[in-house]
Amino acid sequence: MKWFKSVFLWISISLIFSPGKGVTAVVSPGDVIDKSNWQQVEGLIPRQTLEWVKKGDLVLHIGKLNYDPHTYEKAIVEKNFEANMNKYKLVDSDIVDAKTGQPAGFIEGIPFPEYFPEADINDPDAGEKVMINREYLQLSQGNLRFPFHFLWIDGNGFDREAKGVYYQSPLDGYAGGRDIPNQEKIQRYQLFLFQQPYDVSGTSQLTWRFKGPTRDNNFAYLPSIRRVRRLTPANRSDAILGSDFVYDDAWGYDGKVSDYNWKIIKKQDGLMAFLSENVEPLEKTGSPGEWGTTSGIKPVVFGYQDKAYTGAKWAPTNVVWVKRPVYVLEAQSKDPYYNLGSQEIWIDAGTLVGLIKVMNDRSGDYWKTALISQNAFESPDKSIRLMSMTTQQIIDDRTGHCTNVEDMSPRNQWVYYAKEDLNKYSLSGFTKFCK
Amino acid sequence: MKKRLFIFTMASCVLCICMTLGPAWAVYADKEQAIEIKGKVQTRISVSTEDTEGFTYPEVDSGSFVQHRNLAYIELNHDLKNHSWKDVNIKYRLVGRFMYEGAYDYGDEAIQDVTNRFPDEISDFKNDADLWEGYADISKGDLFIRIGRQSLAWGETDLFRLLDNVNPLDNTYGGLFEDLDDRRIPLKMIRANYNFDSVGPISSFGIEGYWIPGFMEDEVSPVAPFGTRYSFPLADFEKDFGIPTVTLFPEKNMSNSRFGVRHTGILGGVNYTIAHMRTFGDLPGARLVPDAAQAGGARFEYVYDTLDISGLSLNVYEPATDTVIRAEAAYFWDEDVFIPSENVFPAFGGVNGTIPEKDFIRFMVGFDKFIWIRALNQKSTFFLSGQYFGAYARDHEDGMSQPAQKEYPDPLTFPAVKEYEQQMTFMASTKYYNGKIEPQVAIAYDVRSAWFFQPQVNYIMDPFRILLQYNRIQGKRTNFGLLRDIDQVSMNLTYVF
Repeated sequence: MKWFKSVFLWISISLIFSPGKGVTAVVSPGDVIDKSNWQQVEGLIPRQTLEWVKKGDLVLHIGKLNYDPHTYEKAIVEKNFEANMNKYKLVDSDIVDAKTGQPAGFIEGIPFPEYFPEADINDPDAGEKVMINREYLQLSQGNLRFPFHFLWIDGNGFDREAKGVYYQSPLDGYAGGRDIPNQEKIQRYQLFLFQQPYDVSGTSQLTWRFKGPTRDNNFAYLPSIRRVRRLTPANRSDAILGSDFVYDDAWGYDGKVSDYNWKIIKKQDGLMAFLSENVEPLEKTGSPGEWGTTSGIKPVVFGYQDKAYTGAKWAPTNVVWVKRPVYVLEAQSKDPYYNLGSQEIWIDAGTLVGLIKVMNDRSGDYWKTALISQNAFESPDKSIRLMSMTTQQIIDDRTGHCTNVEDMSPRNQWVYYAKEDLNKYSLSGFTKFCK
Repeated sequence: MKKRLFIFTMASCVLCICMTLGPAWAVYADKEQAIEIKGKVQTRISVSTEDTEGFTYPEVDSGSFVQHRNLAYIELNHDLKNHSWKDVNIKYRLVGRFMYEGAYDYGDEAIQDVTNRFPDEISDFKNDADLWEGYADISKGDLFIRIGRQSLAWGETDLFRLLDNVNPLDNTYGGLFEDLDDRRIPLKMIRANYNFDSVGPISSFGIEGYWIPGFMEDEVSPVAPFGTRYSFPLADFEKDFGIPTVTLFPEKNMSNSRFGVRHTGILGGVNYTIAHMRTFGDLPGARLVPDAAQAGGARFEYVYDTLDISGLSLNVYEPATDTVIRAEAAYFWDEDVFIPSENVFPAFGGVNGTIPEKDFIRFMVGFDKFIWIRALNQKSTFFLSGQYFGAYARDHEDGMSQPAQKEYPDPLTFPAVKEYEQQMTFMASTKYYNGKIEPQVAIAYDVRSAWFFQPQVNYIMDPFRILLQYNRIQGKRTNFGLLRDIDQVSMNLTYVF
């Protein structure tokens, strides 16, 4: 009888700890998850991402962070965190003062700190509030300036690349925007400038993002016509330079939050990609108040860069996957002409930076996935602590093609709290970038 | 033949060297990457697809090798950001341009005959090397100044110009067949703009002005030398009638200075511009003057005269149709016109022809729209752009004409200029294969029955760009229809770095 009990116990334990429906996956720091043991991560990543592991395209190195990323993300909005508690509410996707019902004026920090990191997922507006918090967390990092490389990667590896510079200046969310005259109610200025190769050099796009429901103003300078051209703000699902990236894919989602319907399906544990297990340093750039990443930052190595790697050419081979609390959101554009259907977004609940976004086409069939990795950064005196996006990728699973945006790397230094002349975002100032 | 072989061998060697080079990437001359060197090398080969007719020269048959234009641009950009003084930012840009048109050395025999007949003119025309652009940008706060040889484009129009008349155009190597910006000739200019930010209800309130000193700069739109492929059809007056043509370029003096000023702003979502400028017209005035020294007793003179243009332009986003609407209107003051009874015929009576002047009102209404046509492209939109141009001649006279021959073989029949002229353009483009294939079609229509049709496809094979293009004009001999018999197919091979 004893042996029967032992066997029964052994079988029960095996059933409990083996992957399957309703059973928690088990991974530990140090684990390497590939096609031989993908079951260990089932349920911790979206189904489509799991398929990559099953096929051998992607290998996951499980790690453990030496810091709490939530505290780093919260640090940049700490000052008004308590003061903003329940101060605002959403009315028809507009942020209004909870007491007066009037549109919110200048907001410093995030408008819904009560939902960071724990959102009431029964609130029908929870998804939208989480995404608004995410937007304002990014605005709170002040003026940004960084070079980036746009890399086209196909089945053979590296295909071609373009280089550019990104500028962003928030007039909301960030303390430095409070005293800037803003009668147009600009939330954020954004400027993309492509510098290479020669035939796209000088191509730039200027965006004025307004608070509330007002549509963006978009302008583009095209070297081929040597003048500024007005663009439609509604073309957010169009491909950038014909790549796998569309305009809304930047930062994981770069459109107006009010342009989508958001719903939090669940909160659970999930695996999120981090650049490394450690905090990366920031250094002074030489301009007062500016902090930048260093040239010693850990570079992400993609599959095409590692001849020994047998997985997909686009796969990030040396990022660390960490078990984190995640929200699983369902998202859908309100634009009937949008080129995507429903999307499932797994987003780090504690930082709202790292994410995996699974995108379906308009018929509801799976099409492509976005991967955003993240990391913490800190100045030597610890006065500046923040979380930031480190890489962005869009993988088109129908063609096996990928567009990487090499954001932070030894050759691309990100500058936070950048000293920027807001004049560049005016139409007159924009012409400075024109040939 | 030896020369052709030599050139072909050299070109092949250059191409082979380029192909061993890596991706299309600029070079930095310093560690801080503040000094960037980049450029492109391009060769364009064109073959005619129809026989020339009438007064179009040179007379070539379909299938003739009519153009081999070789270009190289080397560009140096230096941002002195690390050396800025009192928040004054300075950077400069230098662009060297090298051009060689090989058709005059080894193209169709008819083209080489032009070289033999006008060796000096063609020698100047077929190759060029100069500092194409060279300017410094100085900016501090709301003020921006650019000094040096540069191009400046105002207005809202594509293909045809209204307010976009700051720089002259070089139409001698393809005219309408070439991109507008490739034809723009930089000028020595000082230009400044000041951003006032918001002024009352107007946001992005800016003032911009430029000055092209007449004593330093006399470059104007060149007229294609007689007999070259892209010149407007004209009888061979020199050969057949002993009447040569002389071009009187503007003198380098202060009174020939060009300038312009404009105000830009955004009001109620409408981005507008109000501008005034003084420039030189793309086409010189023409007159016949008696000249006893000539075999024909007269000579034609091309005379460049200043032209004042006042106008306004605007663009606005229309959300119901998700379309950007563009519009522009310009008043051309005292523009030189061609009335044979005034410009030409008086010379037959021993009196100088004159160049009359008329005012014109020209305008454009257009749209830009990105549209999904998923049956044709599931990843990228189609960009559609259309324009309607109107031109009204004030105080129109029945004899107003275009200075080109209409009916062969009569050298003195000229297409009429109507009191009201209309043209329409349409352009569509998209991207395939992750942006590597870019098809585009452009169409222009003159309501007096002339069509221009230009389909093309650009293929990116880093570091090369390959463009295949067909240019066709058909219809009546009026406006751009005058070039209806120089249809051609072209291939551009460009190496970028």
